[in-house]
Amino acid sequence: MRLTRQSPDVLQLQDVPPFFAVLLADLPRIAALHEEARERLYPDPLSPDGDDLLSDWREHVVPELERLFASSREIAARDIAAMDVGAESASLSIPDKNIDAWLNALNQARLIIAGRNSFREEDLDAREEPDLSTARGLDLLRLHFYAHLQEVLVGVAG
Amino acid sequence: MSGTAVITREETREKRVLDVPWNVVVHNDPVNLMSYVTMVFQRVFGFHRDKAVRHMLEVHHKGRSLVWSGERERAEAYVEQLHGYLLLATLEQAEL
Repeated sequence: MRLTRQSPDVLQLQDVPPFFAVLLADLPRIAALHEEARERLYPDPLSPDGDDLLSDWREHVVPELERLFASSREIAARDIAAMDVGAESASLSIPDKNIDAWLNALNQARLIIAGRNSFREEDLDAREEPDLSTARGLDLLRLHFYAHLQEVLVGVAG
Repeated sequence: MSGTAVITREETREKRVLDVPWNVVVHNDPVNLMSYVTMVFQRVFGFHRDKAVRHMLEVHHKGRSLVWSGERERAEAYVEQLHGYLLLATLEQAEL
């Protein structure tokens, strides 16, 4: 799997093995489960003893964040829908203008996966290969794969 | 005379409350990547890379980092931006 420039303003993730193409295709579904991780995705800006800011925040800021996150998911989903999937490998084009949306969608998915599995720092840093015969192991691999993709995109965007 | 003094004291107290700076604090989160957090600090606050890395490492090792202090509206705007990047950030009123 490698990242190349398809054109001056489009990245291409090439030679994606079929297994990872499936994990990629699953990103919009995972990220759409944001209600599962609502507290983490839309945290309060103050400690519980905060003031009236909290109600304003929930009324005005949270809907804006919801729109931003939904838009990011939609952009990533559109790119994924156009993924070129072959028998041996897949390739995915990501226009530079969509990189921020991708970073956001990948982060949403990773936070949701971490939340629903209660992954701790030691789980994420573990050296052993995840046990893919379990849903938790598959989610851990998925989380690492999305992290790898995010790391690559940060390298381009940063 | 004493009435004026009381009013002045009240105004001073009110002004002091308004003048108290607000801190923007970013909290540790095992999921967000170090490189991503560094990039966000550079984008949101315009930090040079070294400073962004220093704050990122402080978050990572100490659990939190005070990344900005100042007037409340701007602090709120920064927290909103940080939440937009899915970082855990809060507002705290500075202690005088």
